[in-house]
Amino acid sequence: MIKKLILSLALMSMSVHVLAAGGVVTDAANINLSSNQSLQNGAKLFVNYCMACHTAKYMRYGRLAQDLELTEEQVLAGFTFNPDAKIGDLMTNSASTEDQTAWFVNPPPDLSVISRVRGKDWLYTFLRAFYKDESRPLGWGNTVMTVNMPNPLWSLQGVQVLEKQQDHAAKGDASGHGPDSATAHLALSQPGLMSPEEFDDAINDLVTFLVYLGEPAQLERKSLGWKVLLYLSLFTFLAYLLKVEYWRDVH
Amino acid sequence: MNKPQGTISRTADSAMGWVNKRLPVTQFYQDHLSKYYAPKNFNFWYYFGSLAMIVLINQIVTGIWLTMHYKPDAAHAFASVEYIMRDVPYGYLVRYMHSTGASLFFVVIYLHMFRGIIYGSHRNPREMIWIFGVLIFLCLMAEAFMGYVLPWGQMSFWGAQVIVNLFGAIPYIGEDLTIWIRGDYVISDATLNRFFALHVVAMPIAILALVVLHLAALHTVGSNNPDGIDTKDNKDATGKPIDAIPFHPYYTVKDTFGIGVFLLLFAFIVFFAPEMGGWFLEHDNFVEANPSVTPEFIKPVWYFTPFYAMLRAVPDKLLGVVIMGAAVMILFALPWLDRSKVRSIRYKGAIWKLMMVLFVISFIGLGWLGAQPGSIAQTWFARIFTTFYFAFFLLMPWWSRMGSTKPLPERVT
Repeated sequence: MIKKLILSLALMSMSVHVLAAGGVVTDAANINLSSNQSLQNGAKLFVNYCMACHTAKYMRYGRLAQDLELTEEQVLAGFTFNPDAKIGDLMTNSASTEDQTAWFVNPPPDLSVISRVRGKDWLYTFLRAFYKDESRPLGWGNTVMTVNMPNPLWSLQGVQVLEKQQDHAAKGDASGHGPDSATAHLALSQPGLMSPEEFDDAINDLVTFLVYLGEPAQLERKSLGWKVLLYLSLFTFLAYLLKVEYWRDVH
Repeated sequence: MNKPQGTISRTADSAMGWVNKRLPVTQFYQDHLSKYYAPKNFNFWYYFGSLAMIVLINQIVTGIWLTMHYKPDAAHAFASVEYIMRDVPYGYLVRYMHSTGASLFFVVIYLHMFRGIIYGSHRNPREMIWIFGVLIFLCLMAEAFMGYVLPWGQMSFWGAQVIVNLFGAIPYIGEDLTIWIRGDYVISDATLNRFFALHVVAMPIAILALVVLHLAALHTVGSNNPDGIDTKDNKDATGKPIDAIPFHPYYTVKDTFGIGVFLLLFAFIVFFAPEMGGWFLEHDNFVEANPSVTPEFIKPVWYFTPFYAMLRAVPDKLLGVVIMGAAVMILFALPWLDRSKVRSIRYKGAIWKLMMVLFVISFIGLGWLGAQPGSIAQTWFARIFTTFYFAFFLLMPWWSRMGSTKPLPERVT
């Protein structure tokens, strides 16, 4: 009975661990939301490499300009492809759902809140986990998730291939990531415009932007939070003194 | 009363007199605050009643502001929530206050109920207070369930799908009943619209009315206290209770302090951890509802997981629904199940304390299990905990009388 109990407890804790990782061992993203440079670079990558197919249809260009400390002219000139775009427009693209359904079966999802669904580490790993796979309809596979999309960043990253199981055992440390990581079995077969280090940095910036995009208010939320906590601490302290004062005559 | 009066206070007195002749405001203030006596030995556990009131007000006020921008339309609901989060000034704050308030409402209510159980606050003569409280709890569950559907995320949709389908297990009328609840053959725009109506109009009115009754019953018999002894009849020469103090100012200032501490916690979550690691706002609910994609793993928000675990622990669907319903309904019987000679756990024997500890472990255990995918081992644990949950209540008439009790003090300690 005791043995069964211990076994059950062990099984219970195991299932939690696997769940927490979502079944995929991810690499840790290193993001800094207070770095405007990182956010701007991420926004540029997002607009240039993601928005041809994906949208951020809950986000307005004006908010982007305000939060990333860019002028409206800079945003309209550098972040939109449509000459008629207005600063209050939502960040959509001109691809039609019918076309996209024909190309990809499922239309590419909107990315406004994708970071709140997947988390930063998942995104950081996924975006670096594409490899050449001729058996897939679009010629690209991904070790994080089977997905019907090409690697949009291949020109920057280069082309990765999936190594055979026995080859990767010793490789884990060399890439700087865990041996079980979803990216541990991938090797660069054709270099891109960026070195692997530069590419990882670029993806970190892109993930930083996606995290911001998931909840633009988080930039101000925390700074307001400290003020509210300070006020409430003072209020609670005074309330405590008042309580002590009144309760002096309760015996 | 003989002190000299200035013009201002004379005018105020006569104005108050004018009002009092027509509406007994002063009388009401005295009966329920300044001359309403409460035992003086309330401890930590007695904060949660006033905190529940604060959270209720928070939910109503933030809810009103959310309805100004939210659209109960399957085509626009998800987008309107993101609109509130991004384009409405301080919309994110109002939304997080509402979502955090929902979870903390259950934290506060569960602790409030726990207080009632350990100090015997449900026992003679306070059965009606307890019954109104359980009714509030029931309404709150309905309110929270329907509110959770409104953001129209994947978990909103599929959670509603699972819960509404449970009614389909009822023999003969089940299928028709689910269609009647949804207003459609599937969870749809019609369902969203009616859940919105119930969430923002019907349920809040019911909850407010029940809160009034809960307090009216409380003020009729007076509060219990951690010693579980009567304080009303023990009076001094002037007729004032020796062990009780006027609610105002003593408990108003004390509760103000408690509210301050609570708001610190509340604000910390709102500003620094609004998702609470996926427990308050679930990750999957940031994906818009999609009837053609079933999520791998559907689970309710944490405050329903104990009951959800019980549902899944039973292999038969109908029996599972019955068990889940009975788990809440059995609370109504509590005042008559507890047969101990004393009210408070302070004077009860070791058996009572052991049962209480096991009950807390079972309930929290079920809460954790209900949020897991449900492996074979987990299901067996859920069965053990569910069995204990029911044994705790159904066998209470016997075990609550077992063992010795300590002598009750004459006055509160």
